[in-house]
Amino acid sequence: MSTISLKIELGGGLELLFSSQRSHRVTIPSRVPISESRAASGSPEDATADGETKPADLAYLIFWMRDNLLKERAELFVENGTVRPGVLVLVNDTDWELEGEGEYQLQDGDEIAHVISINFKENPFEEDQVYDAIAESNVEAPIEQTFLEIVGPAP
Amino acid sequence: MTSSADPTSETRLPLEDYKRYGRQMILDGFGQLKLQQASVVVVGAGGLGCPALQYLAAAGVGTIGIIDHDTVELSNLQRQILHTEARIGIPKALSAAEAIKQINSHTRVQPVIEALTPANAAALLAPYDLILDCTDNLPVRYLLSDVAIGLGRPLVSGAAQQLDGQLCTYNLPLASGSGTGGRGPCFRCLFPRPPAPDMVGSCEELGVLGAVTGVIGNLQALEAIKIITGLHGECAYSTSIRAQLMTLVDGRPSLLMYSALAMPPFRSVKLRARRPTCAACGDEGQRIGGIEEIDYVAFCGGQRTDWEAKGLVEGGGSVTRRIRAKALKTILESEKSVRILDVRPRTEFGICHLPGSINIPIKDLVANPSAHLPSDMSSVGEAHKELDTYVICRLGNDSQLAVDALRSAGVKGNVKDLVGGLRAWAREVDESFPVY
Ligand SMILES: [Zn+2]
Repeated sequence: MSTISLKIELGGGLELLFSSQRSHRVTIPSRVPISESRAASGSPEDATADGETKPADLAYLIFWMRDNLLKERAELFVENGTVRPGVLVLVNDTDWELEGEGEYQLQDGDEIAHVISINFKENPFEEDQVYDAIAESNVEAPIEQTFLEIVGPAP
Repeated sequence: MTSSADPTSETRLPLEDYKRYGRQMILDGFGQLKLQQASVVVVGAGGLGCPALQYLAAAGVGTIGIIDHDTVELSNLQRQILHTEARIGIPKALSAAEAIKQINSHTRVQPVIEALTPANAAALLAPYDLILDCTDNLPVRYLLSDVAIGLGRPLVSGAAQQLDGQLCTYNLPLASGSGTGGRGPCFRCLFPRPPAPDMVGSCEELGVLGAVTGVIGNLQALEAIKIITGLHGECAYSTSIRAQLMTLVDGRPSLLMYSALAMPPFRSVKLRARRPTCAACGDEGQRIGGIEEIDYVAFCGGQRTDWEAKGLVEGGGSVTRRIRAKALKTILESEKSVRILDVRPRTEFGICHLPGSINIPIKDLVANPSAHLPSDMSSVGEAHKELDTYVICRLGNDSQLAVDALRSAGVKGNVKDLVGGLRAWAREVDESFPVY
């Protein structure tokens, strides 16, 4: 079966979930079952098992990485069927949103980067006053509701 | 005969400034007067803010605000290069103000010793043309982005951790007709939702190298200078910096990533356009949600855990699970032989450890606790199977996880962990033990 080769780069601490290795070269099937990106087993054989396939896309790759590369704490990588908030996905140095996000069809030789872009652990104890000050200055807001409004419809 | 200088150029600069800034004024397209008229506010006078402030002041930015509520500590000096040993204990905003006054006595410096809050942010930031985010704090980062949108100011944002850093200008003025309403994305366009805070307790603090925060802080200053002087794109001369900031014709939203050990170390990433549906900067009528009612701390997952305080909590109920530093010292000084298990990362163990302690990093231990049961930890044999085990770490959180893991793997003998970790050991038992 035909395959495509990709270079996967991890950064911002995300590499810690992947054997602390920042750069991975992987080979994945070029066509995958349509259902695969929702519940990927990652096994190439499945792709030919029953009928309909599609070209491998970024959504598939995320689950493939979870099932084949990830070493620990999957919840820090995948959440609600896509990458966890705070992780920026890049296709050949371009924000994946400009490339169709999960629907981007992977090309042989692509470089896909997953970078935790917001992660602030430096001096965890020095900033408490800021938090206190912010917390005090806020009247109780309907967080849950606001939060849902902010999240909006799934992309 | 009158002065031969063109009255529309730099004539309003004091004479000595031609000498002082000559080396940058002769750069093509450089507007020293614009720098002198500009006002920039730096939020956070820490690892990023110090180098940024240093270069902004040296370059001749006329007015500089410094917002920081914190005071200078010894552990800051490794990277926060405007602060000095003599100024330990004084507010960082004042220390940084003092330092840049020494570099450039003409700078109008406005230190603010206050934490930025939703209540005061707009008023504190409004007087400035440009905002630099030099914080390392997620709720403040969202707050700054939202306020920058409200005020219509570009936000030059930096972040650094370990050996990596990032630089991005949010709300960047773009060429008109780019179909994005003339502005680049905001922080919220990129990250509509914050990451969930790590659920698992950790005593591990991520390090950072001062030279790395220096790289990013310098880049923030450079970005600010580019935007103010018009080097960011061609721009008609304008007496109003703010008018100019609205009419820049260049600038593509991008994010610069720096990784000291990577090759190449710098990488520029093309970013998405502003989201018309963004809660903060979206278009009227298309915006989804609002930001007026936000509790930023709750939005970002609540208060940051104080792991040091948490590691000192002895725990309800089972008093036998944990041991205090003084009691451990008594045991170690007795004839009784015990096993001391240190679960910090190898690098931290290498910095300092108790004599005779064994290092098994928490990650390895939790991944496969049964491989690390006492009988497997040494080859001394049967006699050691019943040895008491004392687990220690930096602050006393990871050690509790380790005890749980060992117990669930069926460890024999007594297993306890040290309340407050080695930090408490240094405080209560051995003042000569390094605190890092
Ligand atoms: Zn936005």
